[in-house]
Amino acid sequence: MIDVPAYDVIEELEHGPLVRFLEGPLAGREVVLAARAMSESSAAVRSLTPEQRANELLLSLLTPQQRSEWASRQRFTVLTRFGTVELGEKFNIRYCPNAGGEYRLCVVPNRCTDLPGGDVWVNLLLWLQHDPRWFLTVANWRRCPHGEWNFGPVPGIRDA
Amino acid sequence: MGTMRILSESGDTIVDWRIDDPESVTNAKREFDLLAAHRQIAFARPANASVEEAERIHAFDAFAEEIIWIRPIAGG
Repeated sequence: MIDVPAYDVIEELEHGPLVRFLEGPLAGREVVLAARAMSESSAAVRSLTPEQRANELLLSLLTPQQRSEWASRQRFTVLTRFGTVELGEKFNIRYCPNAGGEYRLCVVPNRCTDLPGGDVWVNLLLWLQHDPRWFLTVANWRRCPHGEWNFGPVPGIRDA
Repeated sequence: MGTMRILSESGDTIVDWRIDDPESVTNAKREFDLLAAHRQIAFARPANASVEEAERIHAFDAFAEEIIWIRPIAGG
């Protein structure tokens, strides 16, 4: 017998109830409990939507601190040797250089419109973590609060 | 078993291989080389490790637990 965390039944489907777990490692996940699995108290995870798959991959890459930020406000910060970048708002990424000031950046993966939102952040997170110079070189930018948009690189990067 | 996750409109496309299955390794390496030729960028990480443990790779590593493919970036 396996212990199953508490869940709410969302809908009765042909093969068993669709439920949402309220606690444990599957908290928030929607799952179909097959009839046989119900009797054995185990669950089969329902196939995920593209956005759910992308978010799952993103969450798996985040540090606990970043995961907490993402859960509370759908943004997370990445510390680089040039400054702090906040990912989560498309086309308007907050950047605070170590040298002071504040900018908004626009950086996107190629053909980003065919990617779920979570994958856009996976893409930018990996670039930023491993090559922040390139990220800040290609970024279009503007000064806060109301500067005009400029082509990259962001000021201070070329000579850093 | 190793897994490649290629970012796509479905979330990601999965390519798996088993080190004891030469055909699956060959297929995965072929896919790796194809993506690299199309200027996609590969990172390897231990399963579910955070981004800090991800490492950029330039050649197929059959012993990698997970390889994530991302795209080039540009100013938007």
